[in-house]
Amino acid sequence: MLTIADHQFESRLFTGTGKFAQPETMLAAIKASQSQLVTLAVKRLDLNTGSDNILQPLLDSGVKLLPNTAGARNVKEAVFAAHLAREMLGTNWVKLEIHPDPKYLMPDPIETLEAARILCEQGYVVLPYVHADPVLCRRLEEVGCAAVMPLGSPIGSNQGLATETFLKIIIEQANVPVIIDAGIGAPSQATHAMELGADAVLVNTAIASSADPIAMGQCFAQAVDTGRQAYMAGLGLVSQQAQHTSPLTGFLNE
Amino acid sequence: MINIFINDEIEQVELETCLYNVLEAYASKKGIKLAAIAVAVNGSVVPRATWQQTQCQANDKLELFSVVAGG
Repeated sequence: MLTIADHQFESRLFTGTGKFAQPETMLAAIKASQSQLVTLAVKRLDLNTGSDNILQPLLDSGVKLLPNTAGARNVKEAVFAAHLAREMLGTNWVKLEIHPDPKYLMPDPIETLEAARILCEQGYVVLPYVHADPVLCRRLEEVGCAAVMPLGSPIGSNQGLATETFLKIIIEQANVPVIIDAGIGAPSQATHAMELGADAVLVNTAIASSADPIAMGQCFAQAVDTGRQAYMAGLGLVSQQAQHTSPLTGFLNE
Repeated sequence: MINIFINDEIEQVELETCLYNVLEAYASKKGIKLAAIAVAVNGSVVPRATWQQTQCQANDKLELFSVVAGG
């Protein structure tokens, strides 16, 4: 069982709600994924397009909601977004993300650390989305973040764990849950992340952009479960040379 | 009457109208539900519990926010 800020999760797969062709598909895919923590974004009400009518069905499904601060470019905007989200959803949980650069969506570490400090002081359960920077992750832990969410590769890129070397260091050092977020593009990559010892993964694009998001949600559920079980079982050591698995003597009574 | 702005559009409201009444009237006019809306006045979030005690002033800038899909 994964515990974040006294909340327990049976599933170690967290999911996003973006990029699905239809809200119904999104809801069905989340159900198939067995995810219990689901991200949402905050946006100024657009009366022309109307609001995504997804909130009530998500609440009805019983998942915990994790509003993000996407769109925020600095501390002030991120804190503002967190305040809005708490007001809207009645939750003090927030996925803190500050990425001013629209091309690579790289999280700004300086703004993120300061916003995390402020929001933690204000009593928020802060889950910051950051680059796979072990030093930054420790600093975020020190200011009171409930977990850290280092990226595998750029958001929505499906490139997998490009930051693997650094994710390993973060996992080794962290005293809070490590959730690998962004870039996981295939169930095998989610399995690998869990085998490394990640506490959870957050997947959105890989499920939403699949030709069959519902089946893919189920695949990710299995993949995360398998990776976690393999981590708990303990992977065998890697060696350069062959290590025989059958006796090499005794055949034909030699 | 005073002028205020709601998401950049000018609205005319009675003097000394509370935020709650302004939002109720706006929501019914536009056909939106207030249940999942957050409101900021001049850049600060105003908690729902204080809408009735908050009086709108001339040229106040109200911004309404809702949740949308996101990762």
